[in-house]
Amino acid sequence: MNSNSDVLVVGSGPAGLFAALVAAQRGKTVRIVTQGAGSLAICGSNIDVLGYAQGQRIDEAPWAAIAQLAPEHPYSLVGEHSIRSALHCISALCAKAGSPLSHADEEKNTLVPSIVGTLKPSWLCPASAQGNSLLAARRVLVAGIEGFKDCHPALVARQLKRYPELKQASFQTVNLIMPPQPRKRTLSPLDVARFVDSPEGLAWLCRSLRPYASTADVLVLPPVCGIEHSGSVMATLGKEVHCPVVEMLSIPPAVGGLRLRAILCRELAALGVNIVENATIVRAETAGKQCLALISKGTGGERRYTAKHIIIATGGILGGGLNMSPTAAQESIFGIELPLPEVIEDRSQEAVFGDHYFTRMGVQVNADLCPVGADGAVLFNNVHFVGRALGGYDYATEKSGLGVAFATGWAAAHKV
Amino acid sequence: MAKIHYNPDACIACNTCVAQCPVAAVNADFPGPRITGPASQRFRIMGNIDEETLHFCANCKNCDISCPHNVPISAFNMIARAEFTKKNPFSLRDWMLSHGALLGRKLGLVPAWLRNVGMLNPLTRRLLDMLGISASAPLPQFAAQTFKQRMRTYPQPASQRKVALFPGCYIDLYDPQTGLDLVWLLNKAGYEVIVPNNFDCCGLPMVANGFMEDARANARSNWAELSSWCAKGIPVLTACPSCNLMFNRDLAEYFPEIATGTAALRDAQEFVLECVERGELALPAPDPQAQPMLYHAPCHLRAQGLGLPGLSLLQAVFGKAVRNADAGCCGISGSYGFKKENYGIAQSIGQPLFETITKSGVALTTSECGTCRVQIMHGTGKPCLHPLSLVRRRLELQH
Ligand SMILES: Cc1cc2nc3c(=O)[nH]c(=O)nc-3n(C[C@H](O)[C@H](O)[C@H](O)COP(=O)(O)OP(=O)(O)OC[C@H]3O[C@@H](n4cnc5c(N)ncnc54)[C@H](O)[C@@H]3O)c2cc1C
Ligand code: SF4
Ligand code: SF4
Repeated sequence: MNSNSDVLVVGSGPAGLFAALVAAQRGKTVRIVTQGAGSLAICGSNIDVLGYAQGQRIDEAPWAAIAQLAPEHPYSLVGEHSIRSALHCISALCAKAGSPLSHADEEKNTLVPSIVGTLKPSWLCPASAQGNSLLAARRVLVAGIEGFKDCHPALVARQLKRYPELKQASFQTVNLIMPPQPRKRTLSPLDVARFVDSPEGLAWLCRSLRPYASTADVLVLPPVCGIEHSGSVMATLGKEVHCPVVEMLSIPPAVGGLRLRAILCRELAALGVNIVENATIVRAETAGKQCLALISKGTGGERRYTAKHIIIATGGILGGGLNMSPTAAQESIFGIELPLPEVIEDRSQEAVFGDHYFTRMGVQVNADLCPVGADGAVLFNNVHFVGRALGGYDYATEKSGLGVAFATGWAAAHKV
Repeated sequence: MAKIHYNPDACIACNTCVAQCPVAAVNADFPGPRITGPASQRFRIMGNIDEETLHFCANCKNCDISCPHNVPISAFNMIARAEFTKKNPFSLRDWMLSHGALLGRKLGLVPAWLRNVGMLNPLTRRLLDMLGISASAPLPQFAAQTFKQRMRTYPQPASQRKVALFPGCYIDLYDPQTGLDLVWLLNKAGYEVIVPNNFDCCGLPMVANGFMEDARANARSNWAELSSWCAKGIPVLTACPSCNLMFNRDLAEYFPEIATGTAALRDAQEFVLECVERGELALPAPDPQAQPMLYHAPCHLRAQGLGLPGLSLLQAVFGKAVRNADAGCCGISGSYGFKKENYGIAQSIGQPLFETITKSGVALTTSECGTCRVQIMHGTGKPCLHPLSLVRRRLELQH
């Protein structure tokens, strides 16, 4: 079977879904082929743009630091206009879906607490976070949920207190008790968020938090404020509880990314974008500098997908877009060789957030996001790489994951 | 049974499958695919596990669809369920639900109206309920004549171009009209349709209910039959997503010794699309007056990596009037939602889909899978037809 479209996107992580959406909004026929649900199913909904540069936390506008990034960094390649447009576009989508995102301040990063009590500089956060209300607070309530293995309010409070920004604040902690108690599995934020999506769940959360509104300036919670209805949950909390609520970043199964995923998927369905799920692209047919078709493996044999333009959003090692063995590193569809330090020890460093080769490893591209070889020459004119498949950045250290995914997705959708 | 040792260590514990499992989403007692699949597999290899929660798995495959590392999660669950079924008391209910074809053949001598009266009257439903088949579950009705019976007298133009059809139990016993609509379309595209006698149930319901050895026996004879048609160059089609999944993906996972060679069952909707592409079947331009309808993508279709050819066909003839409901699993998963202990779970899973349909105000819905359609009609009160039936209607109206 041969299927044709203007644009073919491989991968359904944030970069692929967003690139497909923007291309479809621009009137292109788009098809997505993907294996797996992509990392939105496990990541947070805070859109990081740039949290650290040269080891320094960026509290103010990240734009000056972005301008200083190396020329091969994806941000340098797509430019500030693409980054801003992408963020504007995703904000508009979330607002339209009733789950608005907001900045702390038009031109500042927001410090978001994590479930282990660290502060992460991020850019767009669920609007309920009401900017840096945590930092402005004198009295902080950290609430966990009875039965959560991964969130200990006392630990979070102790850790947060170590930050100079929160030295003056007083902390109280509580464990809320969710009425429906699972019997055979450990409670996760996902369970609570799903409960809170229901009217009973929302009423429970309002009832549980209200008593603290008079004794705290901010309520810090795990990400439990709904998934499908997170927008109206946040709005109701605002009306009923009268105290800003800040959600902590949590570990998978996470909630925030699922919110974004639901919004993107709904919009894609409305735009008539077809998604071919559970299909792995196994190879490419190329002629000179053109990719003619991608071949997938599914039931009953192979299928051939043709398109004028191809966007590769297959992620890194985790997503399956890059492969590394002791002797070689390759991009997984076209087999583009990635330079690899000879000595294994040189591929990583001792410090966890050190300058590792493997976390920056990825496909090198030009300003059109087309892959280039070691000599800088374009490999394929109609293939554009986006998201974590790209080299030249380290999202975990920089805190730039969703920012790069959306900015490059937006830029690629404008090249097709 | 041959021991298949998939390596559970391909799992990186990312929890994507847990976030996407429809049963885990509505039932807090199910630990979810990561635990019952790869994580438990390590203990199974050591022979040290209680399978307390395995029965919750609906075999819907959403875990497999979402996993970034191709871990055969649902296969872990089903193989473990087979082991469990072997070691535990026999369930008449599960046997009945998974041997519908056999029951259908045995009941075949009784007229359909009597069979339906027999199966669907309140007294029988009470009895079935006592056996564990929920009295509220939407059991489908037997057709007056099976698809195979109807095909014996169905007039077809002879043609050199032939295709064979694997109807699947649902179309054969309950929904012959969908099968006839497919035959009509294939005839129109210039094909003569053969319905081979030797195909039996694909075996997926047997696997889902733990009867792996029965499924193996069916797989053996079905695969031989399929291979013989393929060897003659005659494509074998099915309009049922679950049968297709069983033949083309699951058999290789459970019975790699049987599913050898290059034989493959073909998705009928994809085949019809190819007929259009080859110029064998002309489709009318999208009908601007078409009434709005919602399409539901069966999970077992989504699991196949072949996209949604039925939706593409519908979009070709109805244009924007048809939209993908994109509201997740309908909950039924074959016989899963018929079971008393699962009926509530199945209804909760289907709720977002039912709500999407109800709120949209459409009067018509469509989906390839027989039991999805039964569940959608049960949950929304709206008719739900196979895409091929709607395409046929549109083509007939044009003339
Ligand atoms: C646990 C976790 C939490 C995070 N939290 C945050 C956060 O709060 N904020 C933030 O800004 N960033 C966060 N990040 C970072 C961010 O998620 C990633 O940078 C980003 O998701 C990368 O997206 P991607 O679309 O490029 O790749 P992925 O999301 O990895 O998607 C790749 C897709 O391609 C598919 N694929 C791969 N190969 C093939 C093939 N051959 N054929 C078909 N399909 C294929 C995969 O299955 C997958 O669907 C987090 C990351 C993780 C892991
Ligand atoms: S097959 Fe379906 S019900 Fe079973 S574990 Fe996977 S997603 Fe859950
Ligand atoms: S999605 Fe796959 S890799 Fe992730 S936890 Fe589930 S089985 Fe493991």
